[in-house]
Amino acid sequence: MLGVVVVTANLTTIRFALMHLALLGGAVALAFKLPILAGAFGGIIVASFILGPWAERLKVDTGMMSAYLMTGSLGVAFILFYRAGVPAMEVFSLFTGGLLLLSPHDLWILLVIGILIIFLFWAFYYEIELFLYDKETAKALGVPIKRLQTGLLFLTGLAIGVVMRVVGALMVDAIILIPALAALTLARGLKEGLILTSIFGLIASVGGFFLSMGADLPVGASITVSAVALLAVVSIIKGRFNLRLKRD
Amino acid sequence: MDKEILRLENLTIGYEAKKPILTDITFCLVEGEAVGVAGPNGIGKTTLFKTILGVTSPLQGEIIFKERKIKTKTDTSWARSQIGYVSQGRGRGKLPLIVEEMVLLGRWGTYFSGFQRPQKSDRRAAKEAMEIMGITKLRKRDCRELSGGEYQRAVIAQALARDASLLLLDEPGTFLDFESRQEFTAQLKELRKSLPISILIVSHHREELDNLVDRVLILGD
Repeated sequence: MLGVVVVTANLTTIRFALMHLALLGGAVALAFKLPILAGAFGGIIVASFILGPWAERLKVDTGMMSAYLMTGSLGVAFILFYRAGVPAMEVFSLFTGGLLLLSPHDLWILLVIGILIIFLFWAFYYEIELFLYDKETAKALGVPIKRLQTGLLFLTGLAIGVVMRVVGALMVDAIILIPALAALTLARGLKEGLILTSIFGLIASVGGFFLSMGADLPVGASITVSAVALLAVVSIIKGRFNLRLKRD
Repeated sequence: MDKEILRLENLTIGYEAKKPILTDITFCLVEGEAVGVAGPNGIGKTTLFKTILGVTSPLQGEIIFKERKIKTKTDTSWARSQIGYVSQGRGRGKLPLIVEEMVLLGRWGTYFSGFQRPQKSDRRAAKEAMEIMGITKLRKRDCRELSGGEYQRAVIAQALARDASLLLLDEPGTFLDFESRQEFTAQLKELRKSLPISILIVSHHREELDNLVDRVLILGD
């Protein structure tokens, strides 16, 4: 669902920076032998504030800030891996994730964050719709745009932190972005967009899981391939449908 | 005597106290009147609208809406609930949104928000606003697929849906070709005849101002 926000509110660069700081948080956790999810969340909390209220207060361009964070966090992460002597396989697992590596504790966190996201989308549906439709109009009507944007960034960060454990830092887009892109190709409203994104996300995840089991492949990579295939199928169907409409 | 709807008293606007954009604006708009706002680019026309809407606070002076001084947040919300705003350079964005939902959003803040959901009365008001602007047939269309003229009508319908008594139009004809702009101006003229609505319009198009407004407020140094 947050993918819809990322795509329609042009937050793709910010999302990339969030992803990298989550990765840095994960790296810190690995280096100090702490839970990866806790480290990723730590990175995300810092990133949400740097990219949200602090960027605003310091009058720094968010795009520029994202560029610093993306490259800087990767560099620091690798220095940490090197200095702490983190085994290569553990570093690899951070980048590629693993559904089967999730602990019951991780699953609970995943469930709570999932419920929180659904609840907040339900509670502030029209505020989010106005924010995504036109920020100027939303401001004029009295929507607290800055608070809403920081909140959505923070939620996106939380989701990235969780997804990072499932598909890894490099393939976060498979669950966050690609189902939303596929859904927005077909949807005729925000509600439809959110529902279709959830369905496509589910199809990609379950499909990827079975592909991984059947073909003995890594789960994260399989989910990513399923999501990309799904997006391709949806785009082809939409393209053919539009072509037929034009011919008619 | 005509009833005042908006009065600006010695208003100074801007984002920083040390760097005011416009100083000492005194102006009055009466019910049913349409006034054009003109001036060079960057002079502060959009900032003036944002100040009237309470998005930006005035640096000095007073805003009086329907004889009530706008000072507190409650005053701002009250005034805002009766003002329809059409922003400059509205992009269609990437959000898929059907026209009737887009018009309904105009009711947000005044009639529903947060945990509240739009009621039948909100949907009825949105339907009436679409009828007034002649876009009922377009209600199920994605707003990203509308022509420039159709989209601007939908935007005005959105402002009307909140029962606005004042419309602030910030360069509504910017993205329209000459014909669509003329059609849009004619529609606004019709709207003025059928509803007791006041209009403040920023425009760089002379013909738009000549055909629509009663007088022009020129902003300058």
